[in-house]
Amino acid sequence: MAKVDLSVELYGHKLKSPLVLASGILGTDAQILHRVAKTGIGAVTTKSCGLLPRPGHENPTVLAWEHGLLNAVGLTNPGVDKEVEEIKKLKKLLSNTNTKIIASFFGCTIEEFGKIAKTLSLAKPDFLEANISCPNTMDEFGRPFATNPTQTYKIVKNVKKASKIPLIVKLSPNVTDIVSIAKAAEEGGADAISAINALLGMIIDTTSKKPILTNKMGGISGPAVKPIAVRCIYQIRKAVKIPIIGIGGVTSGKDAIEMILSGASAVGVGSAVYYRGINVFSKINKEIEEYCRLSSIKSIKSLIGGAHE
Amino acid sequence: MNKTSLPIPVTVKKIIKENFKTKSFVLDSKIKALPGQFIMVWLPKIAEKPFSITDISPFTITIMTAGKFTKHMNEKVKKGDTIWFRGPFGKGIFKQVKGRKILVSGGCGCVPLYFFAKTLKNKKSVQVIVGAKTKKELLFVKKFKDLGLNVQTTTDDGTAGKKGYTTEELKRVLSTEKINCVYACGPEVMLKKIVHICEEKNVKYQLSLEALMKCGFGVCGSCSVGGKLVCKDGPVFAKWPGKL
Repeated sequence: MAKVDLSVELYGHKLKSPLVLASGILGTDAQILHRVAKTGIGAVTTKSCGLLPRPGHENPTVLAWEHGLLNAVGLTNPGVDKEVEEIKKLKKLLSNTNTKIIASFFGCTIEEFGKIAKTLSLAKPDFLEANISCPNTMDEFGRPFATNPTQTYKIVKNVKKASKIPLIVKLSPNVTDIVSIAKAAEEGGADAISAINALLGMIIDTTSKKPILTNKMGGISGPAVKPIAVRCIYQIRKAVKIPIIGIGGVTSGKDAIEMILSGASAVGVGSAVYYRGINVFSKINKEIEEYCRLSSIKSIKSLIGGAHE
Repeated sequence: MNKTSLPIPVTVKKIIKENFKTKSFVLDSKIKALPGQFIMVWLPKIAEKPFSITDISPFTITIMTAGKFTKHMNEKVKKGDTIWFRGPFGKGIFKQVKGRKILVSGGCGCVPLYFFAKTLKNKKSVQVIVGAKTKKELLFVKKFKDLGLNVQTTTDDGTAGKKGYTTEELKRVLSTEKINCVYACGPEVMLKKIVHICEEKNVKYQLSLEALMKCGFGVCGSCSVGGKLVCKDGPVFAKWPGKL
């Protein structure tokens, strides 16, 4: 049997698999990311870090409902200085795995994004990912920057000025027109887009009559959001030239193929860890290979954007 | 994808005072769980915290006042009230090992050990060391004795049992008797010391670890220690997962 080439290109970096660990899942420290990296993943994304440490929200913060997860962890992170040390540690651990590192970060102001990017770059991650779309901190930070094209443009400009490391911008689905935001990111100089972040939602417990999450609202992820993600990526693919990491509800090889056909060059996987364990990445890799073999496809790259033809 | 983890309401059937700051809550529900597993207890508008399961017949949890949440549980929750829980969680559980065993409990570490002790068939081969800072903080001594186990107590100040730490008593036992496995739960310093003692004496061990938990089901990474997730790979480990 001929071997299927699972590698993809992401802004000059070759990923051995299109699968990427999405931010916010298991990205808390170097050792757990190293364990994820051993499952044959193309890249791992660290949990978003800010300028200063944040404890995040009080529990309950993560729930699993009938069709996905709902979370409002609240950007728990150790602050950028400690994160730099953690990424350096991770780089050492991953040195012989050719798994790439995406360092996710968020700022409270447009200027702060540049400042954090500069510090994070000291750790030399392969990519930076600007999380301008966390849905869970609106009480403190107001509406996410990703709801506004002008702010998105300014953040990207600012980060590009501060760092030479390729920049991924993570977009929110909680907007009227995701295409205008994607275009703004591209015009600002973004090297890639990742979409989508979680959808804003709420679960109310009918016995106590209270929202279960302490933050009341949270981000919906998992199987329920997949058709929305596929639609967003399809729209973004039509509007911009930079590569897209498609994220949202991928739990199987078939889901990953769907993302790739919609226009994603790489596929983020997160909530699926809940359904299929940490080994979900090697399972999905195998399922993609099987799909390719059955359809006589030699390289996964040939499927990117296939649904547009 | 019909695998949910949402809080389930349950009525508090009975409250038992265990010591001056610890109570057991007997819950009016059936639960399938294994020794070492834990649940996340939710009190609306307060918080959600992880607790080891004390017993499944009847379903019981034990709570020692340590912060805002546990204080609320012990001072405000009454018989007949509703609390909510998710779980049970954890794949790492206390497993039976043939031969003589010793259970070492520090503080409220006795909770999962008691659940485990209840499942043991041959209780004659089991010893228990229950330790606390002082006499009034000792927990579950009578409960272990009632199971027919040989219990030794230690207190840091010598107000009850032997003066000193559980680890000193463990060392003494290990130097005089052939023990096949040490089961322990308690403060991290105690557990680390036990690892050193057991490794030096070449004795197997199983430890229940504590960590900051958020999801409880292995996705958020909050409880990661040395590449292991305490909530899912643990909470019981037969090898210390991180740096000692």
